[in-house]
Amino acid sequence: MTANKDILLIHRDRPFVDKIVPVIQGAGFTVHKATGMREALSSLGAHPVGLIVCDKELDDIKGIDFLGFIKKDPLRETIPFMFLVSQANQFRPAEAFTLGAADYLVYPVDARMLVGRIGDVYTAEGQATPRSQARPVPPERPRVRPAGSTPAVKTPMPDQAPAAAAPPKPAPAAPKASPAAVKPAAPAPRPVALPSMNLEVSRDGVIWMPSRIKAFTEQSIALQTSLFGKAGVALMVRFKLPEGIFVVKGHIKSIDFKDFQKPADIDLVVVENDAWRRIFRILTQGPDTARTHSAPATPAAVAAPSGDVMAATVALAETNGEGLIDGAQLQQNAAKKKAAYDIRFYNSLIGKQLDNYRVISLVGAGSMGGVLQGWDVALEREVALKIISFELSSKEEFREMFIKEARVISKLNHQNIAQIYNIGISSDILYYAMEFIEGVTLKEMINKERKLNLSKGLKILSTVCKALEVVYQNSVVHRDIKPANIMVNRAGVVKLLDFGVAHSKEAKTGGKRLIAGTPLYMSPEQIAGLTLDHKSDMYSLGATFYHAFCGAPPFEANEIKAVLDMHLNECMTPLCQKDRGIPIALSGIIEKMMAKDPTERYPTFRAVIEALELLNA
Amino acid sequence: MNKVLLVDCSAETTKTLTGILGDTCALSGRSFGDEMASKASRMVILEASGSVEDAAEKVSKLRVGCAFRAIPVIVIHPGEDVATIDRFLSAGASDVLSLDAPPGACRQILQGHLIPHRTPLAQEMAYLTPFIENTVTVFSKMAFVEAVFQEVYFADDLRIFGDISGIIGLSGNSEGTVAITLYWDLARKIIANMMKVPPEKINAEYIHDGAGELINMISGSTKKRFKGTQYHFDLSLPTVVVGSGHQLGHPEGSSIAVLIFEVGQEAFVLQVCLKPRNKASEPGASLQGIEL
Repeated sequence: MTANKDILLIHRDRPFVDKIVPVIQGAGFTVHKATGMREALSSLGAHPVGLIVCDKELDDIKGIDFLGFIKKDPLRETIPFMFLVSQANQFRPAEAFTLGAADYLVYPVDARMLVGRIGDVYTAEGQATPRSQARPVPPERPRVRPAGSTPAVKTPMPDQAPAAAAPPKPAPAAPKASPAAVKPAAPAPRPVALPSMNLEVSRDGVIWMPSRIKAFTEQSIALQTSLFGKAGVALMVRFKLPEGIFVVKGHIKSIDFKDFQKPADIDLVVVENDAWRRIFRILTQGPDTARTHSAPATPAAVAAPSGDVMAATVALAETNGEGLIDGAQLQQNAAKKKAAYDIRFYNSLIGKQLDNYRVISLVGAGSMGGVLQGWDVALEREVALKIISFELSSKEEFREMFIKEARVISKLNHQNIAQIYNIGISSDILYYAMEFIEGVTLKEMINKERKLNLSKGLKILSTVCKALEVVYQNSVVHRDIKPANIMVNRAGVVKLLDFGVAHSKEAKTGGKRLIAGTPLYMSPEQIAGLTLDHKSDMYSLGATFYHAFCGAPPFEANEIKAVLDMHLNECMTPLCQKDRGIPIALSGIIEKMMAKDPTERYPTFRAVIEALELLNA
Repeated sequence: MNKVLLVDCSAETTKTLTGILGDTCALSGRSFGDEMASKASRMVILEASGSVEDAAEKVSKLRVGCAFRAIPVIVIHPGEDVATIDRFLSAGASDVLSLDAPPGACRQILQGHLIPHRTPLAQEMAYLTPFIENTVTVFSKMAFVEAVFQEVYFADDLRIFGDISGIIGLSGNSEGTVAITLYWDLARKIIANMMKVPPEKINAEYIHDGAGELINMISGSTKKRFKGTQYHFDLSLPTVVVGSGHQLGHPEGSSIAVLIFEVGQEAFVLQVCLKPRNKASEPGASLQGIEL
């Protein structure tokens, strides 16, 4: 066993670390702690670490990415890496092994079990082929491989033990004697102790229960599983590996069962067929294909807001109408946390009943509220239940606005506008029931096809204009026109959705206006916090179909603020220049819809329809 | 007013919860005891202290005390560590809440849990009644005990909280899952009666056979009642599972009926998830109007 007993524990959860560290120290190890990659790298530089135990999420990077990073560092790639995963992420262990992890544990992690497994890793590592002997590091190789460099293609050395069974010897920080014995790795003729690999077990191929493989031979597998059996019972074992999903059949040879609260230990004799032979080879020799590593995320990079954030409706700030929105990015973290609470609240409603509506599942959630699929038990039809978010529901002004807008929207009687059926309060939960639409959104179409077929797109645009003309005639402004709010149902009917931030022109909010919308499609006057009318919707519709026709939004940047600034101040690239296949006339229509000055846009949606009809003619 | 039982809650936590729920709920507090009957409460809130495992053990016992009723067990625990939350949920918690969250969020989440689970519609009782009747018949004829049906509610996920479960998959005109779950004491008694052996002789093999046979008989006899109807199903092989906290898959869009029975003072549960295949809104229907 190696003398290097320094362990680097990378974990953000302070109570977990406080609980685990004394036990590991009690077993004779020295523990260095870190919560993120930066701290971990400092520790690795300062101490001769013999083992890294790492959680799946660090402060500044994902655990799996950190593993990849370490395994690309020639001075640290030989340090055994133990990974901690949650039960939900059962595919991760396979990915971790592919990258070179030595072992993994599934939460909840018992301290004593962890110490035992640390001991196993050290024991196995003591028998492994010393990599420093098998493959000397060239002196000119840089200490840390920079991100974006050519990924190393690693092939197993002929005398190298497979990663799953025997982790490589860590590169020593100080000169130390290398182990003298070099044992060649070969398919094990006797049970091989494995880092536990999660798989599933079934009796009938219908109900699968999670299971752990504890050891295996060519003829048998030792499993720990909650699926019960008795000697002779046939079982199937499903392995989910990067190479594919393999199902192996066998029968129970023996079962060891002590406590009904705990899983049973089962010895399974396997049917030796091609699937088992392949799995056995993978388990003993590693994956079939050469391992490749993808470049890890640049550690110091601050994640730019993803496209999803840009495409999501955000409530940016309250303003009295002066000045630009500020601090939008700063609110993102707070918004994410709030969204998590909202989603938990919506999930707590599933299976419950609000008045006549049975709540079936959560469809989606935004900053204003959530949409759940429901069933009207009285009228026996599917409905969508829109529920106001907890934060807004606690403010009387928003509750009143929610109710008032629902009343206004219920008067928008048009086949292309999702209808509202009812509004109610049940158990202090404010909701409204509306038409449930199953289909694809424009956003999904764009994602699938990159850009819309011209003829199809023109039909949808024209239909949405007709719907918005009705909205305008009723003095309502939608305020959130975007690809995700335009849907085509299974019958091919276009529907305009989500009037959640819609505003009646008569509505007042005490002098303050909540600025809401989706950055990629917001009109300049919306961004500036000015009074809105239908021309704001026209701008957003123009931006939406700019995106739909050419596959990219009119303005793109890494930060929300930059996008908003572009809407306000920059000229967009004409659509026909973005995509040569788009007629100049159509490009001109979109450009006019998106004029910075609202007075330069079409006066009504009817005028847009007429322009489109001329185009068709 | 809803009765909410606070277990091991500190004065500060009790004060916070009173502020959040006091206007709609009657809160009462007590220390955790091994024999905690929580059936009378609408919700149980446990403040987790000490190790996660100790707290999870308490959650398990509280869940046993609920006797399969749809009583939310909420754990108050700081932080958002996914592993810890998973552990509590596996042990039987309905949710894990940190009181560091905004009071409005806490209130909404707790209010959501307080909404009772819905009861079955008339068309749902049409397929549940045969399951109820056959369960009572099987227990009477094969195990010589009287099982009394208590109540039914609907859940949105198929979770098992018990010691021994027999599970059967259903396919055919209808698809789904049926699972019977018992705690160890009752399971041993029932299986001993079925196998005609003394309870102390019940071993792993008897348990496996007994639990499998129970669910097989209940499902098999119910299947006959549905022949020729939209609910007709074929059975898979019975699967026997030990331990708590298992979540089983079920057809999307379907709900799970939780049928509670009592044998004397001990409860067991039959969970039925059955969804006829022929529904109007089958995916893949052809689109008209605009070609996608």
